Amino acid sequence: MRYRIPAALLAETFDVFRQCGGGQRECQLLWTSPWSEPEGIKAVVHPQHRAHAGGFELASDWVNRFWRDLARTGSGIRVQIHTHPHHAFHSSIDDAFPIIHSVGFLSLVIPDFALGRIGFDRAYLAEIGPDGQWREVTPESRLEII
Amino acid sequence: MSAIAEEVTRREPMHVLHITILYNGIPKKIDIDREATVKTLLDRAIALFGNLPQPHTLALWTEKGAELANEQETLKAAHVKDGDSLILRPSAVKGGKA
Repeated sequence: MRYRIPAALLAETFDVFRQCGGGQRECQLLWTSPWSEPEGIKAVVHPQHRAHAGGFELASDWVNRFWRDLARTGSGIRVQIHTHPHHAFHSSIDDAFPIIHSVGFLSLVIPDFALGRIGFDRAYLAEIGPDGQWREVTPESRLEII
Repeated sequence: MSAIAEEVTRREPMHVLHITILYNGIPKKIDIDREATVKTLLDRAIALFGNLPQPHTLALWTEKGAELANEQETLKAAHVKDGDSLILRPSAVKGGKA
């Protein structure tokens, strides 16, 4: 599936990364959309989490609350996005602990704590394949900025 | 109706739990015996949502936020009740460059 992301939501994504991470800590965000129109990303969600320069972990209670919110609103998580201090890649931790495990789920990594230009320059996008393994895909093949 | 059949008819509904599983915004229903283990329910829930990869990282949680961590426990012992909604999610969500 190729998701449509409004440019304003992409700008909001970078803005939250910069405010939360302060150029010193990683941060994670989630892009969600209704199940009635999954390809149209409608919201950027900022989970409660602990973070440091080399990683982050979501608050367990927050995940439970968010799961109920998703069911109540008929929405689903389509892409998880997080920052890295320097280069963007999918680490072994990223591989092992995503928020969604479904085939086709996307994980986008933004380099330089998202302090660079807004967009997908030097970003890394991974997708869960039918074999359950993560594989790199190009951002333009899965994400369309509108 | 024989006495045995009557007994089965009378007791069966009490043994079956009608559970709703929530995963990524989608609710799905499972009927399961209350003497089944948490592991059996977890396996059925994972299969219900498309045989999710990395099943060993997924767990069931109550709506009050308690993980059903003892997979060998029966649903009855785990205090799962008829009509309960359970959350299917990873035990941990994290990432990083390490």
